[in-house]
Amino acid sequence: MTTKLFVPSMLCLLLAVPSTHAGSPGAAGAQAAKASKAPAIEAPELLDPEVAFRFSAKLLDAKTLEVRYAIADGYYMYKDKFKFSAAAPAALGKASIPKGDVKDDPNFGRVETYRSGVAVKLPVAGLPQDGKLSVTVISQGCADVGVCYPPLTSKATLDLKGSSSETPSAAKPLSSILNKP
Amino acid sequence: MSKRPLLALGAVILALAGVSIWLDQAFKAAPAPVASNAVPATIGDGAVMAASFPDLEGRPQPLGQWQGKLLVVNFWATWCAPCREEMPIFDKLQAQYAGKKLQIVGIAADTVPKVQEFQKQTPVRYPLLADSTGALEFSKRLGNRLGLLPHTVIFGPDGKQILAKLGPFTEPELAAIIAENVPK
Repeated sequence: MTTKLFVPSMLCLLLAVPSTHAGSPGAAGAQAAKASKAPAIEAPELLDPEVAFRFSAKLLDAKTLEVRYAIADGYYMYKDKFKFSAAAPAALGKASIPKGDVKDDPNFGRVETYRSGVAVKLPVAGLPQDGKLSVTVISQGCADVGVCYPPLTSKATLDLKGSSSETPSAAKPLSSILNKP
Repeated sequence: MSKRPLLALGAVILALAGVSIWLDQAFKAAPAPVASNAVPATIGDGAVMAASFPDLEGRPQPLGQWQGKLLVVNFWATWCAPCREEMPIFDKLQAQYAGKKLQIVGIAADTVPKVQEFQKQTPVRYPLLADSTGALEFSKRLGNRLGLLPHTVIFGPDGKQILAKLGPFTEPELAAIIAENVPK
């Protein structure tokens, strides 16, 4: 049996992983040394999700939240995958999501996607007296090279003074999304 | 004559300033660093073969049951368009190799009902397993750092990993790999 890789595309990075993993840093490398030997991995070079789908959020006023994603070239996001929530006692109303690029997908029917970026406005009710709002946004996107990212969770704590602290997006446990009907 | 050194000095200063601006712009324009999203597996082949995922009836299906065949494990999800577009290729090749030593298995990062619904609409002639949390975790342990889909890992009949790929195969590409590696 030979290890064989078919011709990789221009965009693909071909990594032949040596069985000894000499120089692999950290525990992962040490574990890998014990793991399978010499598989070849063919993978396009892709941005981390936080970079491909750059999240930001701000309170425009006491009653309006704006969420933005700056989308890197070659990547896109799905309109119907956005989910917004706020920590109690605040609550978010219906999101005003702009019209995306309409595509007739053979699998999903008519879908709307965004490239470059998207800004979403949501009404905020019950903003606490300290003016602080914690928001959570779930999103999902893909890259044109033919891979999709798992759903992402982005969080931000905002206040009316304009300062915000945003935590990096993190992969959400799929069970919490996919188990929902 | 006495102005020449001054002019030369001025030219050098201007040149240095130009280089400085160029370097500044060059670094500003540099794209965000791209880490390789394919990293070494942190799971041994033995552990891979011992792993088990539920089928659409909820019965655990250990991957080791297909040892002795060329095993193509495809991680996918119903929400992943490139995955769904790739699946007819797996279906066709599995049918072509019916009765031969090729086993394609799809492991969905999805709930069983979602995969059952998919299977009703788009039947495929190879087993579909489903684990909404475990599939991506397992895929990551096989080197798929970001949990991207589709992710396909091919194991030889001895259970050793031959090849892994992020992103969809083309049919000629996968057909050639199978033809070369399937036990005669």
